[in-house]
Amino acid sequence: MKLLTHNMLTSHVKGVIKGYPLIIKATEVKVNELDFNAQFVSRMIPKLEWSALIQAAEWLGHSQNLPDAVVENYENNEEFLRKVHRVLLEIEVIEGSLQCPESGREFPISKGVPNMLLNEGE
Amino acid sequence: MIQCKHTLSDSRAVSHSLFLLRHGRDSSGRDLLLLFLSLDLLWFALSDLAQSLSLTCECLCVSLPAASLKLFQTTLILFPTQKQTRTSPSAFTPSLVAVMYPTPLYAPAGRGSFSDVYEPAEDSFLLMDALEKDSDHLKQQRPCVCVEVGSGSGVVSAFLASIIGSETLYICTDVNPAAALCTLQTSQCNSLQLQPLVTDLVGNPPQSLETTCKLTSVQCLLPRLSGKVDVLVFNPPYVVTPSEEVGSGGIEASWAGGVGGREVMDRLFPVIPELLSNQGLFYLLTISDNHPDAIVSLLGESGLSGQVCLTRQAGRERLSVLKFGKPL
Repeated sequence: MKLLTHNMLTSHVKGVIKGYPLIIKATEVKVNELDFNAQFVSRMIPKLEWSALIQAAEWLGHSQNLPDAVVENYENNEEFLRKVHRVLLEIEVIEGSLQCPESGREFPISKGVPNMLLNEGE
Repeated sequence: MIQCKHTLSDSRAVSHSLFLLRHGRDSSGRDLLLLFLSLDLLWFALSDLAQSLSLTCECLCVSLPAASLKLFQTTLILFPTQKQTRTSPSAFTPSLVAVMYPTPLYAPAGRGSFSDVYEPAEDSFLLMDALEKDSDHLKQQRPCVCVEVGSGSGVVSAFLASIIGSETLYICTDVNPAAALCTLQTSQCNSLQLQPLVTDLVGNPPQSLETTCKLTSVQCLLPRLSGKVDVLVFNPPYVVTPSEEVGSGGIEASWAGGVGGREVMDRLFPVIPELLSNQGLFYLLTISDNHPDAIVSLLGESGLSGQVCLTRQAGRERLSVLKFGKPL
């Protein structure tokens, strides 16, 4: 699971009001080098919950010294985009879980894929 | 007597089946070409194929399809070659492949650890053909976020990514964990970045559905992706089955559609207007049993305009890809 995916996920346990961001409990994290894709990163930044991304990166010990807010004119700031690229796409949680911040319900991450299935009635 | 119903638009299915073309020899040492086709592919293209491969179709062994129409069993057809020399099947592929975007490679759905994953078939190919038909428009629109619900092998999302390119986020959901892993592998073997996710399309069985009716798979994505999805693709379980067959997590989840084949897709419909961006498009595969016209009317009530994008007869099924969008 890439942090980009994590950024898009909300706990949907019944009764939960703000199940976001899910707390990452990683037991195996991998860093995959990928070709830098500046366009992709630039296009994703407006779609992100920035604080959740920073939080997630810190949980995994890969904060990259990213600022608390998106920098201005980021489209032209390659250094910044490269850092975001790394956090969004290169850091991958292979095993672990995602925990709902409100209910405590844990969603497993196995072989790099998060499982958000709920049992009936949850 | 084999009737040729092969048309150019079927070329994706034919080229796909040629991937499975193999050489062999029978017990008396004659060269054979073994062609594995799903049952519905049987009724077109065979004479074309036989002709272009300079073969005659001497015997035809047909295995019966499984109970469900969508569960094709592999059919084995033997073409004893008339030539002494072996011919490479790949040499014939180009003349039969008339597609602009080739079908991506995909992980071995339907086999081994992916035996519970739906293997791409006519419905998948029609969906790809519909996306290909719209490829110019899709590229022009430059979608930022694409979501496929029920990605199975991942081949359709991989195909979409081959059209739209690498500057787009592709999220793929499936209720079946094996399918999510299959999608991940398909992503890797095409050097793509698909983001698979296991989630239930229909949180709970219909009886316990709350009146809010928002218990759908995309619920864990809905708050964040609301109004952001530029392309939404769904090849749902559309086969008409008893309601009890709906809702398993295994291979049945890929085809069992319950009453009218609509039970699963109907539960996604209410959230579609909310998910789609202003220029967002929703592609849905249906069969005639699902009453595509009624689906167009139903989604029309929630402000989406829909039309048939592409339609094709595949054996007993009339497959149609419906395309919906928000009016400008």
